[in-house]
Amino acid sequence: MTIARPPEVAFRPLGTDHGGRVADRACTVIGVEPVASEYRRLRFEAWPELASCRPGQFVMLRPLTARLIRRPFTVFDADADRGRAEVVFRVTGEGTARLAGLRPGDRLSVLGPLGNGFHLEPGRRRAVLVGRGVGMASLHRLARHCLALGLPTQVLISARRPDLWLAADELREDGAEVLGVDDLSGTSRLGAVERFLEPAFARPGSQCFACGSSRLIRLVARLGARWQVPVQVALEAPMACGIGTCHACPLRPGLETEGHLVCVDGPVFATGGERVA
Amino acid sequence: MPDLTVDLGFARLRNPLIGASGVFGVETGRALDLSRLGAVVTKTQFVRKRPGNPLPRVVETPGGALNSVGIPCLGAEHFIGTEWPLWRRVGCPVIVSVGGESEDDYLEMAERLEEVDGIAALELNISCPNQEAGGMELGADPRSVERLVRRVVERTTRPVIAKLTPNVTDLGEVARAAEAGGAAALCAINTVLAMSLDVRQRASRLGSLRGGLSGPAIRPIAVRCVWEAARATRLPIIGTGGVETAEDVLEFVLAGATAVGVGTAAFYDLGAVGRLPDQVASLMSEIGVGRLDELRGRIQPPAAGAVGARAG
Repeated sequence: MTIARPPEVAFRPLGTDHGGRVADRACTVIGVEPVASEYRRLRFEAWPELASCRPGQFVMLRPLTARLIRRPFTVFDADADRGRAEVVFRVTGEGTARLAGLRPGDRLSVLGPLGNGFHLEPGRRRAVLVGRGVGMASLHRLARHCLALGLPTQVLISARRPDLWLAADELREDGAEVLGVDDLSGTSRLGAVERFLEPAFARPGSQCFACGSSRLIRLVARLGARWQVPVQVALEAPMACGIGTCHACPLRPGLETEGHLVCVDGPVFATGGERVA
Repeated sequence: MPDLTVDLGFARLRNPLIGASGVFGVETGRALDLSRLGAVVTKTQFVRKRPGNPLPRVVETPGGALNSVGIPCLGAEHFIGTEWPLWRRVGCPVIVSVGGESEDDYLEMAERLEEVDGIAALELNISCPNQEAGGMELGADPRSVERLVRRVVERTTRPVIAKLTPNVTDLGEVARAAEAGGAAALCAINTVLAMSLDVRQRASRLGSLRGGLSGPAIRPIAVRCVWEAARATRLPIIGTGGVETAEDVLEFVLAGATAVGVGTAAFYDLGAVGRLPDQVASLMSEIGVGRLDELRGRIQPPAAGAVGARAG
């Protein structure tokens, strides 16, 4: 799991999501399929509170039969009417390999919904989403939410190769303005991305959401400060419990107060303003 | 219906399950009704604020988890003023785990906790492998253990539990030292000192070189330690280490434990932890045990002529 959390960027909590009920349940797998070449999309039956969780909230998952520490994944999509949720991930180790090997009807151990999720600020009328690689999995549901609210939504998707642009086509079909950039063609260079993003930040009423790489997080934090645009970033971190007990995911380890925890004080943080901790 | 209650001498618990230190917080109550447990132990509390260790702090290893969290802590004032009032509402007896970087730290924390009502017992964490000073270093030396336990017992009105490290040659000797010092109970075991390396990075998989191993991988070690502690002392023992199922709970009781801690399993199967008391009751019925006393320490000798009963 990538830990995109550049030390020079100040992160502020948006309001800790303490108090909400979290459930630990066994759910039935609907299916696992490849998506955007290297990723896996895992769909499962979800209970009502999970199927209607906020964009940016996450779950901890493991196959029910595997006595493994659960892995955290942002809910990629959820359907409250049909009682379903899905996550998208890259196979990076044993935990994700076991999840990728699940078949329809298999059982999944699910803890959730967890974390705070994104907050749309009232008065902000357009959304600018910036995702890198599998970080798009954290933004997809928010993009659909913005589109459903009728907000003009721009999505910049950065990846090593064009075939790794997650959800680009479906978001475009849903009405988003999608720009894919990649390392092969060189369009993902920071200068090029900045030239695309700057006019979007300059437009009045914009709000930015990002996930996926330290470089991009630094860039949107800088642009947000320059254009007075609120920026929210979904952070990733390895964690064991997901509810604030294990302290595997402090935002700023080593500080006396530990900063905040990615699991309960995030995973979504605002950039800019006073440094946390 | 079998009788699940246990008597630790200083407290009667509705069932033998105790949420182990480091794994349960007030926040665990969001996902698990803590009143289902017999008792719960807080994370280790220090007098002064302390930072934790570098990331990564928890990695998975075969059958377990290796951690070097380093017990980040906000200090006595925060614990007493902010956290303890929340603990009082969890619905089961709460044991406060006490840590220190020196003997005086433990004493000071024990004294500070005298201001607080409702603490069921103090558990001295003299077994953390991830502390620079204090912790396991102190808990591996029988003379230091006896002296520390005695001095804490003199300064607190609470029953004192000594949490033992398995990282010693003679656990019985340390257990006897804690008993001589006046401990009311023992908890065995804390994590097993361990390492895991990534050959591609040529580095520790943790942010620290060494960490503490927990989970099912250490259960047989923990069972052996409980058995040794039970033979060495007359104190009630909280057996802890890799408990997942009702069978594991009764295995610890058979080895000599009065109560049984559950830890790492709460990270991957909190729901199962909540079901454990009922499952222990079912298993007791199945194997014909009405009260846990009937099982405690009653290990049958190995069958005569059994092949492989003795190793070396």
